[in-house]
Amino acid sequence: MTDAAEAGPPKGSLSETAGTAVLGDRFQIDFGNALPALDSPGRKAFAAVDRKNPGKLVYALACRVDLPLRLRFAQSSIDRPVTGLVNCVGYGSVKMAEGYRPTLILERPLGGRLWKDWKGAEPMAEKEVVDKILVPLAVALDTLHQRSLRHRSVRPDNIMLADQGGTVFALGEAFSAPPGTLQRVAYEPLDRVMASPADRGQGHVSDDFFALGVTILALLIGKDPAVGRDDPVLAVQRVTTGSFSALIQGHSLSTPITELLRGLLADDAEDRWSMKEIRTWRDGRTNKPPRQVHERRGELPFRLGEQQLAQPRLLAIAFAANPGEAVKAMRKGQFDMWLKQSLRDPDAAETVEPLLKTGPGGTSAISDEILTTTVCTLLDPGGPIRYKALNVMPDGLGGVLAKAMGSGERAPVQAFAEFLNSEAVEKWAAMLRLRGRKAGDLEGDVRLYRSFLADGHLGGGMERCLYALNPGLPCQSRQVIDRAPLTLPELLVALDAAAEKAGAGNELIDRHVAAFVCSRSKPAEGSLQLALKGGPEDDAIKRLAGAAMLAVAQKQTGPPSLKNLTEWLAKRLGASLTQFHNREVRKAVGEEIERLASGGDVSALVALFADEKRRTADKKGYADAVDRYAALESDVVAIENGAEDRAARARGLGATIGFVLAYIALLGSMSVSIFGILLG
Amino acid sequence: MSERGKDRAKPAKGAQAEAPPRRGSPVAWVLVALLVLLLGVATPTFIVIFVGMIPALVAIFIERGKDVRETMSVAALNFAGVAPVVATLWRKGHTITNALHTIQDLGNLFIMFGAAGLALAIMNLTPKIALRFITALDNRRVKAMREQQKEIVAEWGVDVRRDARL
Repeated sequence: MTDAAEAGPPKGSLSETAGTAVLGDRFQIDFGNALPALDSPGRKAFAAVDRKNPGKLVYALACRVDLPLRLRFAQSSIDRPVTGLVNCVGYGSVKMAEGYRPTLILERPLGGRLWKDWKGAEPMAEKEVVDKILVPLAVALDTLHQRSLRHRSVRPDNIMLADQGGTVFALGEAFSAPPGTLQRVAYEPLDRVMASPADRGQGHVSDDFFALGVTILALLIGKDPAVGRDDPVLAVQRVTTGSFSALIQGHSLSTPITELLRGLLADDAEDRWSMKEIRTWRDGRTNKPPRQVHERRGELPFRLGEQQLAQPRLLAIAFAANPGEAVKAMRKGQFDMWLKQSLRDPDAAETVEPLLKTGPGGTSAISDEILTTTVCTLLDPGGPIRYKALNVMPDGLGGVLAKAMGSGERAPVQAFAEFLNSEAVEKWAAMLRLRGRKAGDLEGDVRLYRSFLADGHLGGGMERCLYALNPGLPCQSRQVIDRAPLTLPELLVALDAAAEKAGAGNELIDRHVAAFVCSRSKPAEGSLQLALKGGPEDDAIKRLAGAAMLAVAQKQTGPPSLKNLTEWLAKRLGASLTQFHNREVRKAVGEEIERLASGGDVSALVALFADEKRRTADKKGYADAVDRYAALESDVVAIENGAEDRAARARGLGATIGFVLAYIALLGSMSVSIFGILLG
Repeated sequence: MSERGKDRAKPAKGAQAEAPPRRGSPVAWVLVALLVLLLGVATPTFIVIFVGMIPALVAIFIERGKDVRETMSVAALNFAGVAPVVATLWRKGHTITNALHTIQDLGNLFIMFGAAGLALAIMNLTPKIALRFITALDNRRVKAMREQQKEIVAEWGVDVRRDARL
C-alpha cells in the first residue's frame, strides 16, 4: 500500500536542462529556471511565460512518459477554469535535453506549497482552516464534481498558496498522475485503501471529501494523522474502529470540528458529508449525524493459519494475500457454516456452500482464484476486485495496465491478460448484485477489452487495451517515445521526424502506434475501412493497414503535410503493388505513388490502394484471365493428346475428298462415253 | 411354363451380345439389282459391266462395315473405267459375241481394272494427305493459343499460371 507506481525511477528521469522550448507557439518554457518548490514526485517544474497573455503567471510541469496524464480533467480546466484550483492552461510534448516529455502548463501559485512535504508544518488555527481552506476547496471540489470530475489528490502538501502573501489557497494540480496514485493511505477512503496505488481508480465524489476531511485534520494538528503507523497497521485500525476513530486518535478538537470531521470521515460513502452538509454546518445549523457503522463481526473468529479473524473485511484482505491457504482453510474449516452460524449471513453461506464442494478426485467446479475473488467480494463488496496478486478497483484497470506495460516485464502484463480473460469480473459483479449493489458497466467494458485482446491485427491486442483504458497516456512506441506524443497530431509529427531517418526496412508503424491511432481516432470512413481489414499474415496488407491508420488520423486531425512520412510510406507501399494483378494498373499506381510521395498527404497515397472500384475491377479481370488461361490450356492439351481423333478426322476428310474425286471422274467418263456413242 | 418356354422367353446372354445378322450394304443390293435388271434386258452390257465391276464388287464385299463413302468412291471410279468400254461395245454392236470379245481385250480390262486400282490408290492416299493437313492446322492453333497465354501472363503476371492449375 505504498506509492508503488511512483517508487521506481521514472523512465528517462528528468535532470536540470538549460535552454528554452516553446509549446504550441504560446508557452515559452525556461529550462534554466527550475522551480523545485512546485515539483511533484517524478515531475519537474520550470518557469514559463504565456506569450499570448504575459500578465498571467504560469509554470511548466514536465511529466513522466510512462504514466497517463488526466487529459479530460486538464482540458475541462483549460476550457472553464475552476476557482480554488491550480488550473491547467495548456499541455503537449516538449523537447528537453534527454528527449521530449509530456508537459503541463499550469497557473503558477506564487506562494508555493502550504506544506513543503507530507510530514507536516505548524498547526493552523481552526478559523483560518475553515475560512481559507475548507470552504474554498470544498467549493472547488463541488465545481469539479458537477462536471463529473474528481480531484483525487487532496492532501496538505498539494495545497498551494495562490498569492505571495499566503492568504489565498488553492488545490494543487492533479492532472499529472492517475487518480489517487500519489495519495497516502490515510487520505484514501477505506474501500480504496485495499487497492494498490496505481489501481485505485477515479473513485466517487465523496472520496474527495474524505481526503478533504483528513487534510483539515492534518492542518489542525500540524502533522500527517498517520505518522508513526505503517499502512497495514493503519488499515487494520481503520477497519476495526472506523476511519474517524483511527485517524482522530488522541487528538483533542473542538466540538464543531469533531462534528465536521465525523461527517467527512464517515466510512460509508452514502453518509459522508459533501458540499451541502458543509454549508449547513458552516451556517451553524445541525446536520443529521452519520450513522455509527460498526464493522460486522463473527461471533467466533475464523481461523486462517495462525490468524483468527472475525471481521469480514479483514478476512477478505487476508484471503487475498494468500489465496492458496485461504481456499484450503475455507474447505477444511467449513467456511460456509462459519458464515451462517457465526457471521449470521445466510445469503453468503448459501452462495459459498456449493463452491466449496469438491467432486471425485478433489475436482472443483470453480478455480481457487475465482473462488477467492467470489468470497472476497461477498465479504468486502465495496473493496477492490481481488484476483491472484491484483487488488484493483473497478475503475482502476487503466492504472494497473499502464504500470504493468511500463514495467517492461512480461509477467505483470500476462497476469492482467489472465485477469481479463478470467471470470473474475463476472463473479465480482454477480456478488455485488447479490449484496444489492450496482456493478456499473465494467462487465461490458471487459467484454470489449477481451475482444481487443483476441484481435491479433494491428490496432488490437494488449496495446489497444492500454490506450483505451488510459486516454492520457503518451504513445509508448519505441519509434516515437523520445517525443512522448500525447495526441494524434503529435504522434504524426513524431512519426514524420522518425521517418526522416528510417529506411524502408524499418517498421515505424508498430503495434503501439497502431493501437494509439485506433484508440484516439474516430472509426475509419468509406474505402479506408477496406485497407484496414488487413491481417498480420500478409506483410503487404499489414503495411497497407498501418498506412491506412495513419491516413485516417491525418484526415481527422492533421497536420496537412507529412512529407517524410509519405516518402517513407511510398517506399514501403511500392512492395504492396503486388496486390494489383494487372501490370498496367501496377505501373499506373507505381507512377502515381512516385508523384504523391513528396506531397505529404498520406490519405491520397493510401486511397490509391483503397480505391474499391479499381480493386474490384482488377480482381474480376484477374479471375477472368485465370479462366481464359485455364480454358486455353485445356484446349492445347486436348489437341496435343488428340492423335486418334486427328486420324479419325483425317480418314473422314480423305474419304470425302476421294468421294468427290471419284464422282468427278465418273461424271467425266460418262460424259465422254455418251458423246462417243452419240457421235458414232 | 416348361423349361423350354423359359429358355425362349429369356434368351441367353451370349445371344444378346451377338450383332444382328448382316444383310449387306444398300449400295451392294442396288448394284446387284441393277445387274439382274441388265441381265434381263441387256445381256451383253451386263456381261461387260459384271466383269468390269468385279473389283468394285470384291471391294464391296470384303470392305463391309467400312465408311460407305469409300465403297461408293471405289464403285464410282471403277464404273468410270467401265463406261467407255460399254460405249465401245454399243458402238461395235450390242451382241453377246462382241461383249465376250470386249472382255477378252487386255486394253479394255486394263482400263476397267486400272480405274478400280486408281480408286483404291486414291482411297489410300487421301486420308494420309488429310492427316498432314489437319496436323498442320492443329499445330497452328496450338501456337496461337500459346501466344494468347503468353499475352495473358504478360498482362496479369505469372500467378495466373499457378492459379489456373488449381
